[in-house]
Amino acid sequence: MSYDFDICVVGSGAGAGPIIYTLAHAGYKVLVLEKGPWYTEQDYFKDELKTSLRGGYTPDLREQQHVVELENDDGSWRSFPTYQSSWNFWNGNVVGGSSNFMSGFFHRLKPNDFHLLSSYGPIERANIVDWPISYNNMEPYYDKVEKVVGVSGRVIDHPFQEPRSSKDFPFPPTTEHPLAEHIDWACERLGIHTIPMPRAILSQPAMNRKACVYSGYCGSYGCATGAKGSSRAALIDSAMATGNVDLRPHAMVTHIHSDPQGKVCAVEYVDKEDKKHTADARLYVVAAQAIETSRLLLNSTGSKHPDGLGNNSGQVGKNLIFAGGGAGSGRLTYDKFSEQQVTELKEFGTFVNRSVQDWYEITDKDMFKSDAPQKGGTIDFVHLHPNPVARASRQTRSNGQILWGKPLKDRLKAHFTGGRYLKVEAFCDWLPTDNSHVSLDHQVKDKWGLPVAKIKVDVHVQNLKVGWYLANKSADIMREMGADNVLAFASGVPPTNLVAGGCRFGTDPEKSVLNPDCQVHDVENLYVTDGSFIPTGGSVPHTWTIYANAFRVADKLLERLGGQKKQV
Amino acid sequence: MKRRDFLLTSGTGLSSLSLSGIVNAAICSDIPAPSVREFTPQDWHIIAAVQNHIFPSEDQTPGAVEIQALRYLHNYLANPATDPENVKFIHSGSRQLQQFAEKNHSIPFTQLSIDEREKLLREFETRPEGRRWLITILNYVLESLLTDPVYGGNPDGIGWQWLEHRAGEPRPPANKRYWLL
Repeated sequence: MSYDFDICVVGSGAGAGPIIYTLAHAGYKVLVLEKGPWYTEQDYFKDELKTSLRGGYTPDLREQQHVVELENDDGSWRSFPTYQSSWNFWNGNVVGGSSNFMSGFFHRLKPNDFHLLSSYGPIERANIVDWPISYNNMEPYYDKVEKVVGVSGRVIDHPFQEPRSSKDFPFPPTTEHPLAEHIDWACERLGIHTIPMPRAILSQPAMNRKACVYSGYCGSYGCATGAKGSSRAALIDSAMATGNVDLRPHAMVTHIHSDPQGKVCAVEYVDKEDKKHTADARLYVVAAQAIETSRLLLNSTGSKHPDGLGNNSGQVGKNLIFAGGGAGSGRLTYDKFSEQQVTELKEFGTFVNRSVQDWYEITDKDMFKSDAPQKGGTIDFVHLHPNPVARASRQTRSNGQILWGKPLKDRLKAHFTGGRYLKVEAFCDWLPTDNSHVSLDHQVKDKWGLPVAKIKVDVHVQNLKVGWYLANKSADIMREMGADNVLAFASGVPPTNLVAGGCRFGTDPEKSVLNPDCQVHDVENLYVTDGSFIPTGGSVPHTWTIYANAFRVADKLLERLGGQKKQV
Repeated sequence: MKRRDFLLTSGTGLSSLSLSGIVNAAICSDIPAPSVREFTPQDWHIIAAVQNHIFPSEDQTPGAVEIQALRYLHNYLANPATDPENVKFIHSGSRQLQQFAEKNHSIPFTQLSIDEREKLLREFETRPEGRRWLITILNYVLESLLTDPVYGGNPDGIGWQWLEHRAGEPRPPANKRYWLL
């Protein structure tokens, strides 16, 4: 039987790029269907309106939205569509997906993250499991990401340093802001280890990409130099050069068709003019980011899959997770520092690049009512995001009133010019539960008439306990630095840009959607390679693990297709 | 009378014709504006007066006039990419404020003294709709202060300079403003 393509990939972000890159370089014909536009370095500007205020890289919520379901204080649940709410679960519908807009804090999972249940035991109401693979299976692919996507950093010895096959990172750390020294001094006095934060940002030119130019606007912004290791800059551009990739932007996949045997036989998509098309391939990969992947599978019913593709055990969409944790901030007020220090603190553009993982495992009987070690997390120190309108908008309330007039102007002046802000992002496991999942909302449809994803969000109390623990530790560090206005807290609000799960991998088809190779259990030619596979998320952002796993699955696909093709 | 002074004092006694001319000069939109046709010069005038009240000009620091807040808002409302609901909301809020002023003081908002305006706006703020409208107007003033000058506010980066804010490079060119990409 002949097919249009060897492989069809739905999506082009971090879960898709390694598949596209690996198979195109091995000589296979790859079709990529991306619902968003195809921007390059020439289209990315430091424009707060485009990037953050007008949702310039995400769909218009009037046309495509989600429904969120949240728990009320009395234990009942309420749901509402995201249009005209402050919620937005889209994260970058462009070629390269949301990896274009990441900050690129790259941490590997630790060996214990791969067997959370065996390492720390069960927690009531949490669906904690061991992964079907170990850190050793993933390590070569973490290593590959360092070299191919490009990760800069410096390995230092600390209590939770994970094993590595390469001695150090292939690229030195990005240039550091003087704030990093202030963190180091404070941590040294407190007996805490600081780690130069690894970042998926090139500190020197490599692989036909330029080095970072330290514009000061990184997270949320597309990179104008190609230094950020987005799926597009790092993988897809290179794959395109092979001539083996047909990348179709503005291609919204609406249905994956399956044949009477239950195999995928075609994907259906609509183009920019809403014209319908179909395409087929030997193998199919879905990597549309966790929520949309589950939604697409649930919408793709067929005679063998009456409840959605791969959903014969009712597992698609279940165990959705986010990144748990906390946040904090503090201000180094200029009048407490020397003139020289103030000049240094005012430096703009370079990165703070400091992380602390001393509490990746926590033993604290007072907090957790147990002598047993608990899974903790990571503290990342970063600059306050420089978006000026967002910063100014946060200054407009005072004692319940809107602040305006001269008092507002005075506050703005003090906020922007009186000190340097430091921000903390703390990461811990967002425990999967029966109440965190994606389903279809049959009342709310998108502009193509398809049911939108309904996202039920459940916050486990353990997330909050660990979040508070880490937040308090970060506050201690900021106070030791001499910071004012120190604020730190755990957050039960799901970070909508750090989402995973929904199609967890495992060995039991009754309790998982994917097998250990990320193939859908009962659909032998369909794989899922975005963060959907992750059963427990670890205490770090997911992106490096998504990249690494997609490279791992790419090797499985390559083997299945017959290995590297000989050059003609 | 200079445009700045006029807008600062939101002067009285001008005919609607001259008012219209001055407001049009202030907004000098470069975008065709079918969606803002329902805004009368009086609407623009009251919006300008509110902007100037909540973000006043001072000797050393820019206010709504210097950052071209009215022009910026006009560009936003006239943009076909703008949600018509937002346009309707801003229009309806300005009408409600006018009615609120006339009900409480029997004269238009623009003829009130600074103190009377403050009192009235604080009263308007206690109404949920009024509060939402004032937050919205302030939000677009702050955008005009701190977004790229290519969008019509923040001329020559006057807002960035005042707050010692460093803009990032590359900045958006006119042909790649957010709705054109």
